[in-house]
Amino acid sequence: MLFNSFDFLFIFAPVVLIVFFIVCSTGLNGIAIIWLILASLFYYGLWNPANICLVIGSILFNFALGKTLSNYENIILWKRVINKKALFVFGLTSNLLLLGYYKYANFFIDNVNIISGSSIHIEKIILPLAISFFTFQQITFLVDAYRGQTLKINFLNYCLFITFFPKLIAGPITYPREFFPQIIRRDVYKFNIENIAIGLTFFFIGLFKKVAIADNVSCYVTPVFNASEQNTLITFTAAWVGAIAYALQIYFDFSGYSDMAIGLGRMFGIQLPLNFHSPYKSINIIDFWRRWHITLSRFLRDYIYIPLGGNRKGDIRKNINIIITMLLGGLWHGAGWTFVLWGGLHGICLVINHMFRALRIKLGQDLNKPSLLGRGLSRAITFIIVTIGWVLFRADSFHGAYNIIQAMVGIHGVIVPNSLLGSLNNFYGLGDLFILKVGLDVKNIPLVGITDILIILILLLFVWFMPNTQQFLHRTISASEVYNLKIMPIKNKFLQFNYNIQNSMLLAIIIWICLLFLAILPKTEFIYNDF
Amino acid sequence: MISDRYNKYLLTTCIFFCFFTSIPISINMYYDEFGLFGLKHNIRLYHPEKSYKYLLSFKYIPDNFEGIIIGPSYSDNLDTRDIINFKIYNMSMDSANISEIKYAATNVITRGNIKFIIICLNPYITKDSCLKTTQIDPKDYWLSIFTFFPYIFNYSLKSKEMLHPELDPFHSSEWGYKDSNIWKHKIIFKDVIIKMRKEKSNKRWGINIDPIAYSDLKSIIDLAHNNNIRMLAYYYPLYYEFYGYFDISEWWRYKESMYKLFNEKDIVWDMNTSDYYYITKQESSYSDGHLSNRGAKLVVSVIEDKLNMCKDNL
Repeated sequence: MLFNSFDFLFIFAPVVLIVFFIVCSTGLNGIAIIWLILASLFYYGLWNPANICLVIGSILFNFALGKTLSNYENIILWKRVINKKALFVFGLTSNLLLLGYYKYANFFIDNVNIISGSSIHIEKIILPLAISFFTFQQITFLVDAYRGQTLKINFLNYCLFITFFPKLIAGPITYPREFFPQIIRRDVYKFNIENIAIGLTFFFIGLFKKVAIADNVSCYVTPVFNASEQNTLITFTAAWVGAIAYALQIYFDFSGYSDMAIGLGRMFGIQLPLNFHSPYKSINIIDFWRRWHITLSRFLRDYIYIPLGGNRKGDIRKNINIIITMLLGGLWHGAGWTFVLWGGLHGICLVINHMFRALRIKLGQDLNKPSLLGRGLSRAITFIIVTIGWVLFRADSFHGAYNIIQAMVGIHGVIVPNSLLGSLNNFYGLGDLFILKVGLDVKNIPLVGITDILIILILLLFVWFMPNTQQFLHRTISASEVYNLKIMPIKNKFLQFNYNIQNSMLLAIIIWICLLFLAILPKTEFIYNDF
Repeated sequence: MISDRYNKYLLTTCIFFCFFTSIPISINMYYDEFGLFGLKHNIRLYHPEKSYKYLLSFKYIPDNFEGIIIGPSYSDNLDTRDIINFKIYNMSMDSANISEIKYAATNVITRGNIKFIIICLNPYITKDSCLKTTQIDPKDYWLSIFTFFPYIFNYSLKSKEMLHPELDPFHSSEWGYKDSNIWKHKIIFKDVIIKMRKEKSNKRWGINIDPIAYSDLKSIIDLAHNNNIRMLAYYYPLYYEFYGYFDISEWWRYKESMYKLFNEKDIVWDMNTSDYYYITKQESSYSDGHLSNRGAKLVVSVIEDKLNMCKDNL
C-alpha cells in the first residue's frame, strides 16, 4: 500500500488516525501506541508479511543491546564477560551484516565471479522494503546508547520509533533524541485540529508533487534512458531533457514523499525532521548536501565522516574522509558501480569545493556576499554537475550513462527537434545552425518537442525561484530543522500561507487534482522505496 | 479561537472540494454525452469514433443492447436497425485493430448482460497490434466523469459535423452505424477493380498475423465464453476477384488460426464461398472494396438469418 493509493487515503490513514485518537481520549496512551505499532506493522507487512519477522527480530535485538549499552555501568556481569566497545561493535556489525546480506550479497558474488573468473551462484536475494532506513535508525539508537545519550525509554516507544508508518519506508531518518521527547509529551495524545489542518495541507502538497509532477515528468525520462541502454543514438536535446527531467522527477518524487511523511507525522502530533530544502537553489555542492536528503547527509556526517576523523586530522585526511563517506553514501543507494561512481563524483566535487573555498578565504574574499551574477553562475554550475550525477544514478549501466553523457556534451551532434527546427528556421534559417552533424541516422532517436522543453523549463523555473513547502508554510513550523535557521520566511506576502479562504480553495483544488491523477494514472512506487 | 480558524479552514476546504467535484459531475450527468451515468438511451456518435465507442462501452452499450458487432471499417457500415428481432450495437471501429477493439469489447462483456458477439473476421484486424492512435485512452473514463476535458476536445470535432450535416457519417448512429458511403458515393467500383488488376495481378497477397493481436482476439473470445456469451463470426465477403489475389495457402493458414479460437457452440461461416456469390460477384455490393449500402444490407440479412437459427440458444 502506497501513500499515493486510494486504499491508503480513504481507508488506512483515516482508520488509523480515528482509532488512535478515540483510544487516546480514553486515556489509554499505551494502547494507542500499541495500535500505532500494529497498524504500522500491518502497513509494512502488506508488501511481504514475512518481513514483519525481520523487523521485529531487528527491533528486539537492537533494543536489548541498546538497553545493555546504556545500563552497562550498572550491570557487573556484563563487565566481566565483554567490554562495552566490543559489545557496541558487535551490535553495529550485526546490523551492517544484515543490511549487507540483503543488499549487497548478489552484488558481491557477481564481482567476485568477474574478478576471479569463478562461477559461484546464489539465488537473487529480494531486498526487504525499508531495510536501509530502519537499520540506520537502529544504528543511531545504538550509537546514542553507547555514548550514553539515550533517554530512558520503554520497549513500546522504541518499537514506535522504528515502525512509525509515516517514516518507516523511506524516512526522514529520525534521531532518537528528536523522536522520543515528542512521544513522551502528553499533548501528542490529544486531538488537535491545528495538527490535522497543517498535516493535511502538507500531505496533499506532497501528494501533488508526486502524482501531478513527478509521475508525469517520468515520461520524458524512461524513453531516453532505455534508448541509451540499447545503443540508440541520443540527441543533444533529448539527452538534456531526459537528464533534467530525471533531476526534476527524483526531486518531486522524494520531496513529495517527505512532505507526505511530515504531514502524516504532524497529524499524529509528531514533528519529523526536514528532508529537502530547495536543493536546486544550491550555490555549490556543499550547499547541495545541506539541502538534499538532509537526514541522510546528516547521518553520513555524524556516523561516518566524523567517526572517521572528520576534519580534525588535517586537510588530506579530511578529503579522504569526504570521499570515503560519499562512496559509502553512493553504495547505500544501491548495489551497483554506477551508484558508487555517483557517490565518488559528489565526493570529488565536495573536495574541490572545500579546496576552492579555502583558497578564496586565503585570498581574502568574502564568501558570504556573492554577487548576483556570481550567485546565478554558481547555481547553474552546481545544477549541471548534479544533473550529470543523476545520469549515473539513474542509468542501468556505465554504458548507458556514458551514452547519455556523450550526447549531453554534444559528441553525437546537436540535433534540434523538427518542431523546434521549424520555428527556428522562421527566424532567418537559424535552425540550420544548430545541426552540427549532418547525415546521422535519425531513425529511432527519441526526439523531444518544443512543448516538452517548455514544460521542463517551467518546472525548472519553479524549483529555482519559488519557495518550497516549508517556506510556504513557514508559520506552521511543520518540520523540525536539521540545520538551524535554514528555513527563512518568504518576503512576498502573497506567497505566505495563511489559513484563510483563498488557501482552503487552493488546497481543495490540489486535492481534486491529486485524486484525478490517482484515478487516471497507473500507480507508481516512490523512487526511494527501492533503496 | 485558534482551533476555530483551523476548523473553518478544513470545513471550507471540504466545501470547495465538493463544489469543484460536483460541478463537472453534475454538468456531465446532465448531458451524459457518453452514457456513463446511464441516464440516456439514445446516444448518437460524433468523431472521433473510437473514443466515443470506447466510452459508450462502459454503460450505454451493455445496458441497452443484446449483442454487438465488432470489427474494422469493413463491418462499420452494417446498419443493425434492419435486424428486427435483436437489438445489436455495431461497435466496429474504422481503422481499428483488435487490440483497440479489445478495450471496448472487454467493457461490454464484463459490465452487462449481452447475449452474443458477432465478429467480422478480416486480416486487417490482426495484422498489427497495440494502440494506433490516442483516441482510445483508459484515462478518458475518469476524465469524462470528473472533468470537461474529453467534452472540450470532442465538441471541437463535433462542431465540424454540426456545420456540415450533409457529410456527417454518424447521422443515425444511435446503434453504432457509420454511414461511410456518404463519402464514397462518387467512387466507381469498376475503376477500383481496374486499378487493382493493374497493381495486384502479378503478385499474391500474404497475410500477416501479429502474435499480440492474435492473443488479444483470443482473450476477447475466451472472456465471452467464460461469460456464457454466444460467439458468431464471419469472414468478410471479399469481392470475388480480390479474394483471388490472396495466396490461397496463406488464406487457409489464416482461417485455420482463426478456427482454433472458437469452440463447437460458436457459429463461424465464410462468406467467400459460392453460397454468397450473390454478394461477392456483384459490383454493386461494394463501394471501394468496403461494402456499399446494398452489400451491407445483404450481409445484415445473412447475420439476421444466422441469429434466427440459433435464437433459442442465445
